[in-house]
Amino acid sequence: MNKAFSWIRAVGGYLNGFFLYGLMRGVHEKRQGLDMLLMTSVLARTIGFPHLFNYYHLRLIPFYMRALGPWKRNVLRERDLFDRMNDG
Amino acid sequence: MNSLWVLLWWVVIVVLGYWVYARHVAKSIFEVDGNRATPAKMYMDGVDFMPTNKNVLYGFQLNSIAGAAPIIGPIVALQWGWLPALLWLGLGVFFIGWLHDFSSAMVSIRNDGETFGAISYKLISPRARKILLTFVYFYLLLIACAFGHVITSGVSGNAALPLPLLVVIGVAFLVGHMIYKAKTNIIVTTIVAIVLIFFSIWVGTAVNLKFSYNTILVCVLIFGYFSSIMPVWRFIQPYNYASVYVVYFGIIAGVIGIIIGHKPMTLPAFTSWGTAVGPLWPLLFVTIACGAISGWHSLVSSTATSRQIENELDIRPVTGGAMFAEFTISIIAVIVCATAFSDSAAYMAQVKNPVGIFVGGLGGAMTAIGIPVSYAKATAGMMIIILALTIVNLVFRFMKVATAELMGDAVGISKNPHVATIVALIITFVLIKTGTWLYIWVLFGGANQLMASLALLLVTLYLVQKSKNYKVAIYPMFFMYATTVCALIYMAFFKLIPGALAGKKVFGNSFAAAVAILLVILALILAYDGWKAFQRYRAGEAAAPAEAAKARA
Repeated sequence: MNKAFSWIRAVGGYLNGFFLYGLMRGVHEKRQGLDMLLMTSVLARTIGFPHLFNYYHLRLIPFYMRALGPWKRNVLRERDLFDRMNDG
Repeated sequence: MNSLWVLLWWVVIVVLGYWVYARHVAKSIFEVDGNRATPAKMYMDGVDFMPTNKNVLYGFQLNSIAGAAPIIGPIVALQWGWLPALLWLGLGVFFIGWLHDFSSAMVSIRNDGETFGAISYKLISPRARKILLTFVYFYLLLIACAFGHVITSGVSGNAALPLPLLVVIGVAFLVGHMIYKAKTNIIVTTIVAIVLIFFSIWVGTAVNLKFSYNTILVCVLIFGYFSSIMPVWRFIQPYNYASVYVVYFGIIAGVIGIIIGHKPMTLPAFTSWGTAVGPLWPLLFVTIACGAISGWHSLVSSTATSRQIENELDIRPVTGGAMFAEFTISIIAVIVCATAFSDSAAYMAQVKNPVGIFVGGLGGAMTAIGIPVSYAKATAGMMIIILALTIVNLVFRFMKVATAELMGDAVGISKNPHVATIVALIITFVLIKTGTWLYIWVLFGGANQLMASLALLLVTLYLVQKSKNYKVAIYPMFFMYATTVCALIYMAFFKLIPGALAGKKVFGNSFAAAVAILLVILALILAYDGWKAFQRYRAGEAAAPAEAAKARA
């Protein structure tokens, strides 16, 4: 029975990947783009980008601490044509 | 010979290739390690680098790599007979195709998810990256021309197709709006899209719309312009999503129809060593691109897939498995076409319109399960047009980015997306109108396979650098490199240039010949740099044992 369920889950995963995954990935990319933009407006000075922030920006910093590493990698990662093939 | 024997060949290749040979190579040479962290886990950011279930990733990989090429290539290659086509498909995917996809992802994963541009910079030379980018631009141009003609000739030659195609485009906009703006439930959206599309195919069989070749070509290019400029969520993504159900229906219905109908192969097993296109070697091996091996897959494997693999043990099922699935699509294409004609003459009369051949073949197979002939043929036609249009839309988008990447510093205006897109469209239009499609298809195949050999070059250098057994990659690389360079040289000097000198399609043939020669030059430069890198790494490998002996002494 467990094996049957694992097969059903596998087929479901495959159908999800074939039909829906690309679409959902696009949605997540859009969301990530907006998040990164907002984070950049708050934390730009940490990567050497001269940007004036105000008190209200500073109040957002505690919410961004966990995402600091991924944000830095995302912003500073060099992209070429092959990377941009996946971009929207 | 009954077509069911071909399915036996398919079973042998898939079972021995995937479960025996691929497993052995993955384990003993690449040493896949389930405990090793992948870039998806190390650099997880929720989108680009995101550990994903292997079944989901398999479906995504197959959706990304499967296009119209595994169908059209075998159809055109039947000129040499179905036996050479089946042999190349089977042996190609067994020894080279799955390895190419698998190792492309593997090399990227072992290099922190970097793309081939960055890896070629590191492994070969700094100029290798620039050369690869230039190569890719012309490769994309050939794709746009090859598939642009397929769409145009298919739609203009079949009056049942224009209406459903217009509906599919309209449904794509509707789906995009429903999902992203109206926030409609995905199941409701899907049902609406499927009903509209399949209903329109039925209406199209009754309401025939006839348009000229030029009209359709201009529409395709205008369409390509908007695909390139608009955000992906507005059109391309919902189009890919909504239209893939037609493709899936066609494949399933076709396979069932083939098994139920099990018609005999009416085309000859082998015709001759040389046909109107040219000699069997090297042209068969570039005419059948996807299905056996395709350079496009290395781009997909090394950019999107490698950053989503959550465990190294998933690489073989995702990449290798998807390649064997595409091999399956090619086998279906061979069967439906080899069983659709009464003799070679009937086939040769239509070889310049592969859509028409596929429509007749798959449409006929689908009638075995009770689907009316006209509806079956219209569905088969829509299936291949949708696949081709998906590729063309993406290609114009990539060409826009490639133009900015290559010429942006020198020619500032090329960074403008509208200018870059229009330049790409104009070149595509000129080449389609003035070129010979059959030759352009072979050039596309040559560029595609040459891209694959360059990917295998990177894999070989990676294996040499890591002091692993590189023979599994270097021999396929040599074979693909020699075959594709010879194919491009043959097409340029024996078909295109003589055709231009004889006054036939002068501009198109000359331009295509120039592109072919340029690709060969770029490949030779890369091979030279690759050879120097290979010697560097071999010297490093030779030095290590001497140093170890010195340390012991």
